[in-house]
Amino acid sequence: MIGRVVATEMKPSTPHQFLFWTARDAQVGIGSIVRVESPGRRVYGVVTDAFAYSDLATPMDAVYGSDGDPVGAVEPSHRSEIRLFQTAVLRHEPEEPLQAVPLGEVHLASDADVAVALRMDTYTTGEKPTGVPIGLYAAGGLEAPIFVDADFLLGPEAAHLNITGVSGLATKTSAIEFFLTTIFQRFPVHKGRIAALCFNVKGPDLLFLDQPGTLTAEDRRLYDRLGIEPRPFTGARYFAPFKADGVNLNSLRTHPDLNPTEPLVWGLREVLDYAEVLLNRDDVDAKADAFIDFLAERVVGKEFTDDHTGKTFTVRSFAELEGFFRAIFDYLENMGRGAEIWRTHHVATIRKIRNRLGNISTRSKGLVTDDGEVNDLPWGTFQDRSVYVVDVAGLDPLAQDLVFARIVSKLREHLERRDLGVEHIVVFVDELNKYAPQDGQDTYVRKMLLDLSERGRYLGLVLFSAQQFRSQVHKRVVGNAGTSVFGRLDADELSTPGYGILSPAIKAKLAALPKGELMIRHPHFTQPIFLKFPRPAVLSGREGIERFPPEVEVPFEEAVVRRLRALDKGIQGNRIKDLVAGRTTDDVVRALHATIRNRPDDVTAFFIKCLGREVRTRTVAPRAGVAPLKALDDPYA
Amino acid sequence: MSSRLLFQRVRKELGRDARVVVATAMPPAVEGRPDDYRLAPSKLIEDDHLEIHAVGGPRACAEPMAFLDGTQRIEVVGYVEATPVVAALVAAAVRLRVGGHFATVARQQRAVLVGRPDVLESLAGTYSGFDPVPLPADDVLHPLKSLEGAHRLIDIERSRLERDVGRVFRQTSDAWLVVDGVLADSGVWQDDARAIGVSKSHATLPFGGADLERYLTLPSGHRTSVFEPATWRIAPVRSWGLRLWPHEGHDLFHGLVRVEVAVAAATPAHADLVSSWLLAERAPLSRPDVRWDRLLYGVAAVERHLRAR
Repeated sequence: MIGRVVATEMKPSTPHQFLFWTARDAQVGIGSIVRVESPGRRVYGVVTDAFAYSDLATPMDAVYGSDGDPVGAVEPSHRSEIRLFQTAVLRHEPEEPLQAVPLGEVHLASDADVAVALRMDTYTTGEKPTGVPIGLYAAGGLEAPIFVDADFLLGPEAAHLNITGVSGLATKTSAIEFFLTTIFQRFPVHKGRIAALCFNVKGPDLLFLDQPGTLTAEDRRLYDRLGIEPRPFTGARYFAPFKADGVNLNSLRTHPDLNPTEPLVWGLREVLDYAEVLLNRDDVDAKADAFIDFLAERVVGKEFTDDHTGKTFTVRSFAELEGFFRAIFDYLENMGRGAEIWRTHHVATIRKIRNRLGNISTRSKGLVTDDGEVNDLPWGTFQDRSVYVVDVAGLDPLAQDLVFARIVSKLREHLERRDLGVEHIVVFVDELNKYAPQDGQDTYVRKMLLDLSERGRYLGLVLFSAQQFRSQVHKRVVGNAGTSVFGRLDADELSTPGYGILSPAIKAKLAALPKGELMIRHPHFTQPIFLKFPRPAVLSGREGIERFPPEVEVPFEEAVVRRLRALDKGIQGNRIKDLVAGRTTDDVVRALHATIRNRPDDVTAFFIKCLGREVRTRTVAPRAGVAPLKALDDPYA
Repeated sequence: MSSRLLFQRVRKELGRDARVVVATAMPPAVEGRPDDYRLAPSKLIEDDHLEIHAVGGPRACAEPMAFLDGTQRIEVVGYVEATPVVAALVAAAVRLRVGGHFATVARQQRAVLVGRPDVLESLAGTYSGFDPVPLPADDVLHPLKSLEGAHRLIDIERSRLERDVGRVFRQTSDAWLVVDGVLADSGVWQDDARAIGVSKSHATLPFGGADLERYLTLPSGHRTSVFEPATWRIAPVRSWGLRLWPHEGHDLFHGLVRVEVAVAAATPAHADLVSSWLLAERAPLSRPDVRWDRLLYGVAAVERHLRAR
């Protein structure tokens, strides 16, 4: 027993909160879970605020009593003082009739008490338990594993997780990595298969999930206490677009000792399906939509004959699309002054769409190929308990939006058709305030995130998101997150209205929360709970970069060799270099992309086949001509 | 059971008797303790004339120090005919201070029902939890006089309880013990060199004439010569006046206490030492109690403890 409930007329106990007092040295603090024992009733609560005061009537009495000398004054007695704790009720037993908290003894909660207090007993036991450990509650020398309900974390009851915290403590990324570890190890088999797709949006944060990290003995103890094996994500696959040269990967994960990062290369069709992403708010109108639809339905990937010009087009790449546009503009120019309409589409609309599509082709040259060769995520063959990381950190923001929109849309399509390979997919997006801001224009990505957060749980499409400032994220996106996690927050953020429900003491604790500790809100928990979690068992981005520094950008031929060597370690570099010597860059890139996409058994042979027959350049002898006549009378000759 | 419930219960029990008119309030005329105001010139032990001695400023007692006090709660619970029946809860405790913190080391409580002997006798068996304490048989049949008499009896009961608690404490501890009130009314402290009585009451003043003026205008941080009070009832003691706070701007009694110690301990040096300890006990201030200028914090801590129960 650590204290007793106190209630007065001015500060009575209610069904939802009560006060208790303890000895000065009681091991209880903000976030501690306690149990109130009273005959016939048991109440669980979490400490939300703390007060201490003495019998001093006014501060002036202290001055008077000490003759104005706070240092030298003799004061043989310590004033009586109280340690008073305000506590929010977590659960009553029995639940009905709901009554005010009785004046009972207060005890620190044990493991079993924590399970009951947080209603974890309803989903961690039974024939089909759905509890997933998420951290350890610790107070007063007691520790208890905290489980969240998979039905409420990953659907279908509720879903999505949002984490907020200041940058620089690595808490957000570490927490997500740890959560994925626990989900992969403890997600109930009866709920189906699950995978995670993470967008790496900055630095090397998520690039070494398949490498073991350094753990302390305390970390291992926490893993053991939670029943989790500390191991990295062995089946992680990495995807990144090329740089503009089409052969060097636009990623920091390029060290040869690592499992190779796979190129992410899309063509015109992949871009055109998500052309709306490329259009800003002013661009989006019925005319633009109609023309994009026309391109997608009638032109791209089909044989299209223009009635006006009589020409037939086969548009499969940006280059061919450019030719198509050029022909339209030529036709309109030839028609003379006043010709502005082509097949009901105004030339200004056509020019706008051409510019936008051309823009992505230029600004994201490594992502968008001009020749139609595509290398994509393994749609339909996602593996159970596997992580897929798409590294978009080096991409232009517009291209990041495109990647994000297309991948999430494809996930949705496959989950709707139940042919993704898994029944649940966790999508992790960092910097959510950038993709779904509270203010600013209504972008396609924000609309899509709203849709995902509001309807994704029915499909098994779950959003794990992170940001520094929750207040700057669209309210419906964070509001739909069934589980909210908070790391250390700065005072400015805590002063925003969204944190108004937290007591000043909880805010103070959040402002000073150490690394490795979090506050969590979950549908089963009626109050936020503080918990700690071990360091993730994977290499952090900073350590990873030190241990596996990225390759320096290598010359074109060498880069081609390395990309092919990722498919076949036995590739002879000199032979490849000989093969590509004298070939145009476009030809080599096209052959390389085709080889990567097809993953043939005989990489060299396939590459050679894609390169095609070499047309040797003919050495042309300089024209001999006729020797000039030498003028004998010219003194300067 | 809280004192409030205890009083409620006895009212309910007595109310079952048709002769009892239940009462819940004390008549204003008899709220508080009756006092006799008088002058009782004392015999000087130190100095030929009443002198004023500086005690050298506050010095905290380095040893553990205990504080003894008692409380009483009195309520009229009913009348039988015109005779009041008074219930009282008296309590006393010793709180020992070690390292600045208090711990209650002895405590006793007693519930008493005071009334005319014939009334108490007729009510026997109708109430429980209260010990009957009869008023003197010659009590006049005036209800307010009876109430005053009840107050006196309850005071005596409280003093008795204080002595009992002090005795119990002394069986286990030889710590310095500050007693709220006089030592001279009890034989318990007669030979106790480590007991210090601190009287806040000035109903009986130890001097008259010029000495009284000198006594009442004692400067802050000073004591009078040691004297033997003329009012001792059980055991002779040694005493001196001590001004804890300046009286200027207040009244002559502000901050004035009378200290008592056993005869054997009463040397001038001991009087200075004890006075300097008591000066140190001014802090922390015992406000918001209105007697804060004379009420030592340790004594207030005992009172608060007893009243809270």
